[in-house]
Amino acid sequence: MTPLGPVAAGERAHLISFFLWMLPISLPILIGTPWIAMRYRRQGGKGKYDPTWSHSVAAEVVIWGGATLTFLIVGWLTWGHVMGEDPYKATGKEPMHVKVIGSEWKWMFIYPGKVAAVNRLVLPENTPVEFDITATGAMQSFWIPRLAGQIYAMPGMGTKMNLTTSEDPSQTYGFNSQFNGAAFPLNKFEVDVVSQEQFDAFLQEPKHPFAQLEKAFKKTATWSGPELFEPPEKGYWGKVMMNPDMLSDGGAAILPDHAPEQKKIDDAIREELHVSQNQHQGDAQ
Amino acid sequence: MSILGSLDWNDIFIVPFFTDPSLSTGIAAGAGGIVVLGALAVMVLLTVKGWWKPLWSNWITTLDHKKIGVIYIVLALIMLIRGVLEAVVMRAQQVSPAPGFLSVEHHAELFSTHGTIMIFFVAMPFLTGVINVVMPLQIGARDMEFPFMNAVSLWLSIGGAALVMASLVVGHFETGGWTAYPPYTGIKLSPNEGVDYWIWSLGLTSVGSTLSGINFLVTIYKQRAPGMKLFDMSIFAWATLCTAILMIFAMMPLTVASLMLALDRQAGFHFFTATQGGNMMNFANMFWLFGHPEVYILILPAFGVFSEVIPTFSGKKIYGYTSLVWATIAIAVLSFTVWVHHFFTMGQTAHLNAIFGIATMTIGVPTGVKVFNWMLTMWRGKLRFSTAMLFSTGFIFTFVIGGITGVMLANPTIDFATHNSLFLVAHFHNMLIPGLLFGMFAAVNYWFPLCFGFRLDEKWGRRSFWLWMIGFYGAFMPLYAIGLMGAPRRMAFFTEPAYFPWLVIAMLGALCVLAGLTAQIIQVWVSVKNRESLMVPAGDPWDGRGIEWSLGCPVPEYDFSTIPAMTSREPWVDAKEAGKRVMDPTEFVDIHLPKPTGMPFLVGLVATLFAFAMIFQMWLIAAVGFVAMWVLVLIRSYDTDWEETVTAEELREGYEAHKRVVESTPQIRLDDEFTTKNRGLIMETQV
Ligand code: HEM
Ligand SMILES: [Cu+2]
Ligand SMILES: [Cu+2]
Repeated sequence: MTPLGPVAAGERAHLISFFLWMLPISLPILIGTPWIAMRYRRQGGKGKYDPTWSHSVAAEVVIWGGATLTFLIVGWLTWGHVMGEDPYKATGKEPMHVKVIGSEWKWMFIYPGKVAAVNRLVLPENTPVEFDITATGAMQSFWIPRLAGQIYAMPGMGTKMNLTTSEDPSQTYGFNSQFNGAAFPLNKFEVDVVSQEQFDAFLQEPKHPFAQLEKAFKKTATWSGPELFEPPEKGYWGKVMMNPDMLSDGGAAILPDHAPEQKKIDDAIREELHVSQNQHQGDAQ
Repeated sequence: MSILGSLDWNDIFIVPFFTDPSLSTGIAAGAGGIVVLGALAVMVLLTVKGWWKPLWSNWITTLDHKKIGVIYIVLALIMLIRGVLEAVVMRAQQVSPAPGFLSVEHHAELFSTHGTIMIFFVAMPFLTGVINVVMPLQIGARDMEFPFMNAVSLWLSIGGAALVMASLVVGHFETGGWTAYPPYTGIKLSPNEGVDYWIWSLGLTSVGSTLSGINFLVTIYKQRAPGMKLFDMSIFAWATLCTAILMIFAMMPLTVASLMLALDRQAGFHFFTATQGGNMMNFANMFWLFGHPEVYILILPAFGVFSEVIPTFSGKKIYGYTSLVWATIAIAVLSFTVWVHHFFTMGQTAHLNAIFGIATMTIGVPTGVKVFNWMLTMWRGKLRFSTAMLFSTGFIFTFVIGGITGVMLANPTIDFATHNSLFLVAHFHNMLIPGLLFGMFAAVNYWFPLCFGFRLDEKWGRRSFWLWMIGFYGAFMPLYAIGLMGAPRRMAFFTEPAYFPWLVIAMLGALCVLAGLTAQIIQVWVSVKNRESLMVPAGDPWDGRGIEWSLGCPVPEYDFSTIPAMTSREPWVDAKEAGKRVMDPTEFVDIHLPKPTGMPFLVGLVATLFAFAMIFQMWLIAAVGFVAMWVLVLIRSYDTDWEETVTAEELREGYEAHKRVVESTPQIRLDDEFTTKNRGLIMETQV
């Protein structure tokens, strides 16, 4: 998957570098095992037989030494990677703040003082962003693979994730990766990285009152309503974090077989699939 | 509330299909039907053949460690069949056009039971069974230190497995995966009995496993043959020692965490609910405080098996004994220091993540060393590729790939991008299929004659190996690929067209694994049919090295007619090199063996009833069951007539009989090892 932002790019680079660093110690095994199996096979093998050979100081030094050396290298690299890419550390000066609330099976994004949105995340290009993440209901994991790795969203707790958006406008998606029940496959959102002008225009788009969002968010499992709302009062996200039940009516993630809610979820899944079958979605890299 | 608690008609497997017919409920009804019909078929078979009595007196009431081991392995194989079938259904679901033929819930039930079954009811009984059969024979013991407790552990595990099977027929299983994280599994989000099934089936086996761990450890400390120092033990016994310590310390956090979850759900506690001051992260912590050592419980015994199989089929002493032992100890100790790597994404500080990431990588050092030790054991050997050896070699090669991805995942920044993805799923299957199942398959092929007196068919054995090997690569390499593309785990269907070809390959791989499993069933069938020609009464059919091979096959109930003299680390090899074909007896003395008793079975039965009653909130029945369980144990404690004597004379006769068999067995060469000429005791002293 092609990264769109520097955080995801870093993650990919580390992945490749770790793979390569593991090769010096792994290739001898991957090549050596079949080779030994051929060379020392009983029928037709060419290797010399020495049934009591069971110790060699040189071999011990090479094995323990090689393994320890590899460990020291990857351990050292890890320290650097983790300190350099702490999701809690802002990726630039004065990051833009977005507050995130995950719920069964939708995401609320609050741009403090500006706008609140459901299942739609619009960000200006080339901008550092800091997400404050919490959840109501079950635990979720907030993940926009092409921009940055995931962080858990947990009721009663706040976590943070920082990233910088792509240099140019782009479209991608994010989702919850922690299984949370009947509509888990629908638990995703669009991510639009747009130019600064478009972003300003986005903030000006017509909005619905927040009270309407709050009411509907509590009640519906999957979101098909409007996407944009007036922002809530200041400190709203913190209140939800302290008291997650205020945004969830405690509906079950496991539904009795004939619950009306289950029916709605089935319909939502069908509808979603109908849409996505006609529309190219996601990236195929 | 009625005496039947929360149980109602809709919980019976077939009812939902009639009230709401669909493919998904149909499959559920079918699965329940298979369980019910299977149970009925077994009962009919037992009745028709008149096998109830022998089953009771030879197996159910046995306290013999070898038979207990065999029952464990049979349990593991039955559950393995279910686990693999579920895997195939999940694979089929993901290749059929979205949203597939299963509801999201039903698919969730499948991955949850698959994971739970594979870990707790395949892996654990399998390795416990192999340890039960082999370990006492390798340290010169006549039985476990606590044979009665050993049988209780067995029946508790079977009870747990029975509950998971029952969930197909009565009610539902849990849907939160094998990890069952709250708050999803709290009473609010998961109101049905599924999570309780998870809690109580695990409760039974985890108590069983803790008791097994204690039993293994004390047996190794107390029952070694006189003169056998710890550093004279086989590597398998060492692996058992470390596993036992892990079992004792690791099962506890799981038991506690799941009981706390039960209190949350049924008694209004708030250990894990956010709004009442609880914190679900405590569950994650406790679960993985168990969970990480658990993966080493799963892997160490298999490491022990490879350390026995590889020297035997290389015709060579094991390379680097001391190094291997210390590597095993290091792994066991380190395994308690890394659990945080299962939730790098939970928002703790970077320093904490870095430290646990690096701690995780340290385990790679002793593990890497062990792999090289096995390779150097093969080096300068004369390798014979029996089924057991094939599984061992296949393990070395495949395990390394899992090791590479494991070190990658141990880097928290990489984990951010791969956590909860199919990359992770591929990684742990890459460790567990070679590092656990292949080890257990090797063990069964290798030690089978000790229990039954005949070898397993090699032709079908080799076929099963190749099918498993190819099937594994087919089923899981694609998951690495789509995992990196961002495919999450536990997803009922994918809409991304790019994943499709990979999923098709994974489906074919899973079918190939299923074929491998079928080949193993055929292998057993064919071997039983041809058992006459596969008999190895003289014992030691592979020119083995451990003292278990100094015994005839099958091994008599008392194991050793006299406790072997430990002259060195490999007394049986010494004896063979001195031209002997039986070990010299030491002293014949009267010995005592525990009498068979139905009590452990009853304890297990009552405990299972108790657990079932807890699941469906039948408090009265639960209370009665709980009390009855302890009453049974008390009754047993006052039983003074529980031993029977085998006299020195009988032992001497047994020894002489074995000697006569050995003397009348013609000597053959190793080249005929896999032919019907092999009646046991192959020796190739003259190379
Ligand atoms: C024999 C071939 C096997 C196949 C084809 C297979 C396939 C699968 C599949 C399709 C999943 C679900 C992946 C997802 O989340 O989307 C899964 C999950 C899992 N498997 Fe296997 N599996 C196999 C063997 C095993 C074995 C031997 C073990 C352990 C000893 C195991 C342990 C697990 C666990 C722990 C999970 C995670 C369940 C969860 O998400 O909670 N599997 N496997
Ligand atoms: Cu938290
Ligand atoms: Cu771990």
